[in-house]
Amino acid sequence: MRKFRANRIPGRRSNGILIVSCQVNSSYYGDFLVDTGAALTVVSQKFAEEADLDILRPVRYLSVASVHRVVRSPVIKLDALQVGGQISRNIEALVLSLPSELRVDGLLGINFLEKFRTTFEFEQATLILRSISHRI
Amino acid sequence: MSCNHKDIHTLKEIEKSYADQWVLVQLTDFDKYGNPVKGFVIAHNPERDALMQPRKQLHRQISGIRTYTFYTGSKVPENLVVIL
Repeated sequence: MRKFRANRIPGRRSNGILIVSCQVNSSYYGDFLVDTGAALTVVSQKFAEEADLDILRPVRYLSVASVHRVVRSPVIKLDALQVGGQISRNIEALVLSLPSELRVDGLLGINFLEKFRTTFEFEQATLILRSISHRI
Repeated sequence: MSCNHKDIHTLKEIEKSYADQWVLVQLTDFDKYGNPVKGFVIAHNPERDALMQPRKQLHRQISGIRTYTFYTGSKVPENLVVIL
């Protein structure tokens, strides 16, 4: 029998978008914009530098198509990305320079969200991540 | 600007005390889901770049600490629409 354990992540709405705090590699917290249009999670270059992420030896480079441009960016592997009590290990992330007008340190993309039953309560600015466990 | 006092505050209190700035917080308390709740301010500045070195230095000095850098005001300016 499947049981879904809900993890409620309090966030913040800002001009329509939802922002939650994320924990990278156990020690570094930053605000990430929840982006269901991003195939991969993104960390800003500044955050990557602070968190001592290995930008110089990326897993690979990818061309990234956004609405208005295509850029080539390094992909790195995070040891862990945690949102609330939900954690994903060895998860890939793009390193991108984000516009300074966006006061966030990354984008929480599909490659994280798809690991859970993800729902939103926009009125309460809450992200809900349900993990699937099997009851014996 | 760095802070010498180490008074623990909730993140909401920190937001009020350092309005419309970037703050670097050493975290001390978390809720049952692991979301950060309390900590003390290490540094604050209107410019995010000013907190990069203090954060890197702090993690070099103290292993295992958890820090949070965030903007206390609106994450997106009111006249800006985000379409990524």
